[in-house]
Amino acid sequence: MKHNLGSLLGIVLLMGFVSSLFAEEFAYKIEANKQEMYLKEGILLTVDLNQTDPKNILLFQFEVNKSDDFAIYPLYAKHDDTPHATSLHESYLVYPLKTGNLNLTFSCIKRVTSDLKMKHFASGDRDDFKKLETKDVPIVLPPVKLHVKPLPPSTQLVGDFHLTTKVQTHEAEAYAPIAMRIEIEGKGYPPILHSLYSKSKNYTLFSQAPEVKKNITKTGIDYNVTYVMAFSANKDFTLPKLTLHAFNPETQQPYTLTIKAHNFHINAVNQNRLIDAQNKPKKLVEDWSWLKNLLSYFTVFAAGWLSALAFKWQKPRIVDRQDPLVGKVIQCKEPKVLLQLLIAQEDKRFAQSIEKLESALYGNTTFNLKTMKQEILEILQ
Amino acid sequence: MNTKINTLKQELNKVIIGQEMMIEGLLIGLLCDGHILVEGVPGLAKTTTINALSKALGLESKRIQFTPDLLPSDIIGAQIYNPNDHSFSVKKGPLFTNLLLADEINRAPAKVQSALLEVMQERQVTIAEETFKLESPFLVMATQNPIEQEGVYALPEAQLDRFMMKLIVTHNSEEEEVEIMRKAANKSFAQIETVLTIEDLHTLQKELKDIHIDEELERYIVQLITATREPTRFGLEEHVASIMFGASPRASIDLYKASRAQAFLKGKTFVSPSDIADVIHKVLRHRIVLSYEARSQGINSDEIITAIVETLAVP
Repeated sequence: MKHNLGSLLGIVLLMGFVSSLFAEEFAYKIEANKQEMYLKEGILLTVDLNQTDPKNILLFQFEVNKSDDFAIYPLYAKHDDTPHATSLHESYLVYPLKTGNLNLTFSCIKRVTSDLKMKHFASGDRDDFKKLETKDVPIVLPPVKLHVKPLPPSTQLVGDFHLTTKVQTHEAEAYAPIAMRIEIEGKGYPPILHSLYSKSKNYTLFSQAPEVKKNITKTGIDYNVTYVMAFSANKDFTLPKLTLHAFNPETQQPYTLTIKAHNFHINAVNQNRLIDAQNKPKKLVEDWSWLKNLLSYFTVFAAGWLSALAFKWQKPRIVDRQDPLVGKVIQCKEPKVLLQLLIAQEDKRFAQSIEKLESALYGNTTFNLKTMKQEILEILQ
Repeated sequence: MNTKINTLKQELNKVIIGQEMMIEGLLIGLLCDGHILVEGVPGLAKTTTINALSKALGLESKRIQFTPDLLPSDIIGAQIYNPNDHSFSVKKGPLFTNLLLADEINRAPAKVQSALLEVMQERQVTIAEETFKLESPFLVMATQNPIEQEGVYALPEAQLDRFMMKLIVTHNSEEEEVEIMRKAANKSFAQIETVLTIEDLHTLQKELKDIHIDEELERYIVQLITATREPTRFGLEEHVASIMFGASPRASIDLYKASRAQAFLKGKTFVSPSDIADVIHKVLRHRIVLSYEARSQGINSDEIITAIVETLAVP
């Protein structure tokens, strides 16, 4: 009985590794190389599916169901669609992304057709396509059960990796870029990290997406991930020592990848050398031209306004202004000067006065200059 | 005043109300064998005055309306071909008269103006190969619109100099215009009669030569003219920039003759400074060429003449 129970338990355990079914028409085998593994430890999943009954023509559609629990990378696939002897051989690399008990599920459709239908399908061409008529039967495949163990705390990389660092120089001029390459190479879960160095006040970090190269093999995927970055600064700075915690599931041992600290010496440069003396943009100054324009408009407007007012103020003065001849007449002290003044006016009102003056000056009559001036002033008023 | 002149004036006053200055100017022109340029707007009795004067003196008068398409032959005449006897005959133009009203002279182009002004100076006309002397008296009263009006050809300074006087005719006073209005409406203007003959006019011209003008006044006239050319010499520095060209020697002659005629019209036997002053603006205003600065400042030649008379001491 003990023997029987042990045998039964062995059979149940084996079911976890190998899920196989022997149906009437076909046989299949889905096998995971491990049932128990660490988080992000790759397992190899192989699928074999073979037609056993040649009566019908069978076609298979198989795929591993996508899930957030796994990262699945197809490694190998071979489909043999020979009528009546169809076979399918596929292998996958599966990385569990969660711990605990997980089910890896599958989808499979059996498509049943006949020779006649195949011939009909084959008789078509590009211009006269003929559909292959099949009878599709979904097949329920049992999941592969996996037990995923957690990683040691702070583990960043899972697999067997080694690291190389290449620094262009440890001495540079201010603001000159210092290139740095960090390569992580090995087999395991893709060693892609978001950032190795964080931003700092001491330097400016220029980084780009890592360059990933991979080589898929039956035993897994070889990765080569290169982080290219550059630093610039205007004074000396130090990149601190960087330690990446990794875990090798094969040896079940944690290990570290270390980037040693780097000290960089920055030579100060004359800042003027950094400025393009020929094509430098003009020095930024505040543009106050709008205020200047506004003030000039106000000034012109005010000048025009005041000119108009000035004309208004001046007008009464012009009206009130005394005839300039009055002043000239008053200033006359000699009869000849008065005559000279009057004849120049071309004014008939002075005809009598001119006649009197000429009679006195060139004739024998007499006259009083003061009285004459008074008469003229009365005429002017 | 000379009775003949007085009679003539009274006769003219039958149809001409006011405009004494224009009548006096025309009489001075007639007495001195000068020509008169009249500037003023239309409707100020210019044609009426010429017609009245010609009738009162028994002279012939004609009127030419100057237009841009007028030709010299239109005014001086031309040779006309006669197809009957295959010969050319001379057709005299309207210039062959005693009193000629050249209306709006500045509307005609320069060649027509030149033709007229040449005749005014020479007092003879040559048509083809034949020269005709014009009868005396020959007086041209040319009118021109103010220079600001459009479509006018300004008379050149050299041609303006041939006019003895330039009169600026203004509108009549209100009282005079009321009288004109009434007489024109009632057609009650009296007919002009001939009161003087050509012989009387020649007699008056001879009498004019007897008017005495003192040597000092002669020098005064020359000084007045010289002051337009050399204002600085007579203390007229402020007008130096205003004058481009002063008056010509022809101005001295015309001022001399016009002063004597003015004194004659007043009935005087000698010329006094006031007679010179009475005509100096008329004689000089078109002969002083103003600078651009003076024109831009609104200074006219009358102001400069007034300043000269005011500045120069009378003898």
